[in-house]
Amino acid sequence: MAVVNMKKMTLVGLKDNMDDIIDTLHKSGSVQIIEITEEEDNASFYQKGLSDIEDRLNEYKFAIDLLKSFNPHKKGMFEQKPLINDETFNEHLKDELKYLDDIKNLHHLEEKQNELNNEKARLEGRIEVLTPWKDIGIALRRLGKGKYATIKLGTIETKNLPDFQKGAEELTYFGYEELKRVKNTVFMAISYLNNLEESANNLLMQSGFSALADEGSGTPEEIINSLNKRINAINENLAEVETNIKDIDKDWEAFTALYDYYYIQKEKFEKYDDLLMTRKTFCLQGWVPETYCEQVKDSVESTSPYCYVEFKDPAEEDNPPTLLKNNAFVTPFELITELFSLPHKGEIDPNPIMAPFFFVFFGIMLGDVGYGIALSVLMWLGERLIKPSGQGKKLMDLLLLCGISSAIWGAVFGGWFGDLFGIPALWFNPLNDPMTMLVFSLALGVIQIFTGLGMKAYINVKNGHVIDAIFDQGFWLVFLTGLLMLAIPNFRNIAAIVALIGALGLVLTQGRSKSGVIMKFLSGLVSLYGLSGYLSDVLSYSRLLALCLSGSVIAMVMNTLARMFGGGVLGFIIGLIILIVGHVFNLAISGLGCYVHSSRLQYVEFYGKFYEGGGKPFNPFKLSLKYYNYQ
Amino acid sequence: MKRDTDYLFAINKIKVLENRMLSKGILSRMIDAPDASDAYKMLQETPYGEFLNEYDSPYDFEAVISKHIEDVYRTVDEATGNASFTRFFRIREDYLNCKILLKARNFDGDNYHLSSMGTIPPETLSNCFKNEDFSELPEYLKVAVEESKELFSQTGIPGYIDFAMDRFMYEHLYEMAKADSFLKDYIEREVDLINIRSFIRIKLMDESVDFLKAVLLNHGKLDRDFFYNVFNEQLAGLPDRLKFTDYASVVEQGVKSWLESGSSMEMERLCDNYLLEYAMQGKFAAFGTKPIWGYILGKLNEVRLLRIVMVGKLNDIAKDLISERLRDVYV
Amino acid sequence: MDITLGQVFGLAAAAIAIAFPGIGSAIGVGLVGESASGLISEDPDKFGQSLLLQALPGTQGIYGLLTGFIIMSRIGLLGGNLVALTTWQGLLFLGAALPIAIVGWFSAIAQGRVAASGIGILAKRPQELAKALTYAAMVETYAVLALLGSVLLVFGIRI
Repeated sequence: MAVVNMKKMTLVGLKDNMDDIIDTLHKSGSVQIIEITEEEDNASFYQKGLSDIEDRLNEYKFAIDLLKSFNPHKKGMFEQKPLINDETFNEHLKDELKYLDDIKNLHHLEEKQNELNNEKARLEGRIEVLTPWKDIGIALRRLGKGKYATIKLGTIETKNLPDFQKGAEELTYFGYEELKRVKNTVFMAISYLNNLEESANNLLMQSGFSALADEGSGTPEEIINSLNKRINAINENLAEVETNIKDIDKDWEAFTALYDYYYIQKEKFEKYDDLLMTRKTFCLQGWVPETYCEQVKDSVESTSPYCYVEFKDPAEEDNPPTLLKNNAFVTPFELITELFSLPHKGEIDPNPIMAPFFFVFFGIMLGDVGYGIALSVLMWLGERLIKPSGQGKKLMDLLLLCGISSAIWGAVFGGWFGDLFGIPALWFNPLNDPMTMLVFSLALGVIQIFTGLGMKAYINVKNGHVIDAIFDQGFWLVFLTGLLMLAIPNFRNIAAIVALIGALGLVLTQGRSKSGVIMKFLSGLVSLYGLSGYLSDVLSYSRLLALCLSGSVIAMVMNTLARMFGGGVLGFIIGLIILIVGHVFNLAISGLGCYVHSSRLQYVEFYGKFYEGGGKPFNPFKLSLKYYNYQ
Repeated sequence: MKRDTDYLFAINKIKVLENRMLSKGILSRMIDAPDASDAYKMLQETPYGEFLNEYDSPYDFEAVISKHIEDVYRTVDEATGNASFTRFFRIREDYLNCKILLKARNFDGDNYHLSSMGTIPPETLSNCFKNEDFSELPEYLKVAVEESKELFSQTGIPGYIDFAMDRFMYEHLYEMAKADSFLKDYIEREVDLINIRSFIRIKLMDESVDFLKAVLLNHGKLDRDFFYNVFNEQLAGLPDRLKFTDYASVVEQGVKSWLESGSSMEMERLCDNYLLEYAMQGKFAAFGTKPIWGYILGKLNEVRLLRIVMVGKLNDIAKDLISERLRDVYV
Repeated sequence: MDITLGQVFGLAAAAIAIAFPGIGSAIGVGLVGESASGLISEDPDKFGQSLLLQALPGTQGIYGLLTGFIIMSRIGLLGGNLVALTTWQGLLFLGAALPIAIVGWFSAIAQGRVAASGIGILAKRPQELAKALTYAAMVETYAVLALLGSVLLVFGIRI
């Protein structure tokens, strides 16, 4: 039993108990709720509640984000989320008013912080403008437009200076004095009589004079000093605000817990949309894996005695989600199929038959005892440390198994970190004998393709299409077997006969859906062209050779490089570093290639023969918390 | 040399940003919300959310929209390293702003909203118009504004401002678009749909063919002669004449509804949807410039929808009426 | 030791086998990298997945190196005793290097484009990564076949 049977659950209960029942289902995590109403009748019922919940969520999110900017609450990479239960939720809920007060406080503090930062930026801007003038001991109060004359400080670029000087000479009663030069900027003081204002302004504008504008009254240095004093005061205030914010960090646990609590509520409320409701009752439908039916029923009935629960097999028009269950060896390989497409309703689970192929192919491609063991050990350690779940766990298990396979094939082909130790192969070394390896690869391909055809035939027979199985797969198997036997010298005659029978069968049957004898015969004949498809499928397995070689050659290159540094302690150390870096690199890049190409062989060459997919994964309504794990 | 791999960074950045665009779901939830401020609050979780603190009243939604579009433009500019993508749209805003100012002056109105998404800040623009001094405007705008004014003073019909400005605008847009086959095609289609609508309007108003000549825009796929030729026929026959063009279904449904209800609303909606569907090619492309044009066009469409919803909610318009006016979304 | 023209051709064979697929892979990996940084700029969590896609067009370079290495070992370069190849033998090696040199170059770029589009899939539907990987692996088939051709050719030359 590989595809789990799904039951359709119908639950009718009292609206008063709805919240509790949905809560129970949510926490059991084994029901996928079906949307049975598309109308928005329930909208008025949950909209208000949902919008309140979202408000709360936003509040807590604000508080959490703000606190995080001071204390990131970073968890170690391998640290688990803390556990939480209803009791803790209730405890925090009891004190919620206090926490909301604290959040209000946080809002104030944040506002204040922003204000202070803005002012600080403004003051710093002023200091930046004044700093170049620091050594000029003129009180700024004396600048500007006086009764008769105007005095200004300002800068112009050196390149505009000649024009400026010329213009200034043309004006009587216009004085200027260069104070200092920094790079391409000239700092100067200018003065002119007020009745010259217009032409003076013209000149200043043309030469790109930018006047010093500051509302302070002392000398630039005095102003800068007083500004710095104010910045210090602001910094003190800021520090105080920060301590106040950090004080509220004691609520971190409560904030995150309540965030998760409201998140659960939100998910629950959103599900109300999918239910059918009357004034007093509600009806819910969902998919439950057969094995969980009793458990779900018990937990619902213990929550509320006044409800009706029923389980039915999916009807003709139903499209139940797919859940797979396999033994410990096959389960990791489910990942490969999940990433392709799950079996649709009524289709068989291809994993048990695919897993051995993937196992072998990956092993051959990586083909190294050292790499295999390293990969397996890494994955084994990783699982202990990270404790992955779902697809992450499947991937690590998969690589762990594939590592074992690689180690086995590595021994067969004599790969121990490439040729590092010069250990001879148990069978042969593909690098010395690529032709044998090619034949071996293609032979494996033939086996898998025949298996695929066999699977298709099996599915046809199972669905009652015996004729199709014989004509579409049987004759191809006969034809291909005949062709293969041609390669064996002593069987030439028999082989030719077998191939001919197969070919004849195909020519006679492949056009059976066409009308008219000639059309039938012609399409039968054309179907033989399908041979090219099988040929290219088989040739595709030459990638087993290619990846096997590329992995071992890179390993060899690394070993050769390392050996070049041969003698002495230093040479040994450099060599060792090259070996470690090089082999890690090779393991990563070859491992990726092996994974992708093993998958591809399954998807294109193998599944193409018999597997359709298109099922939707079983996606139960369950808790997914951000900060805690629910117990 | 231009290669179709020039904007890979921007394209894939945009693909992520597209995920965050407003879905039909959130828009209809906004419509279903009890009142405008609840609807407004739902934007919190969207990219518009970051401006909601600053503008917390639903009446400020226009400000939030322009802040967001500025953000979008900045992102596109930075990611592509080429300002010409957004410039195309900013220049369009300049023309539209000038159009508003030209008309506002003529009607002595002062209660007008200028878009801040153009290349020229609204203050500069309105100062130019206040002082009657257009020397600070770029040459193309100056010419367009002055000629439009000229035309208005000759004819005294305010509508001519629209025609003249539109003509200048589409000439300019076409000029910018013609190097990019996707955008050129887009502008041509847009011009066609505008011409078709002008044509219908003129027929309904029983105006002369000379008026049509003044109104039709250049650079459409349908040439001017097509419109002159069908001008003397019944309006109901227009869908037949366009049967073998791309616009067949738009025109068929649009004209039908227009003639029945006397309102162009459905036609406008169909045209917008048609152009959006064209822009959606960008969603499926992985190279070239299409994804970038598509994203900006999709964003501008999103903003249009948001306006429909927010204006509807603020004026307490019935839910079905708002839904009816809603267009498709890019994502 | 006198260097024969054949040896020059033999070395050139190894050089083009390594260089051209390397160029192709560099371009291909670059394309995907550019796409991926766009994705990562908004969605940094997808770094690992995008790396898978980026690594794919890199294999042609490895195949090239593999072929080059086999050529080097056949002509005795690695052992230190360079075989005195005749001009014709050298040309044979050059010919044998061509399949991987040419196919490796172009297929890496083509694969890079497929993988770069795959980044778009990753942006929209990360759960469909396997499909994007498969599309890219389809292109690689031809690099594998070319590698196979080159390796068999190199081993088929009598010295």
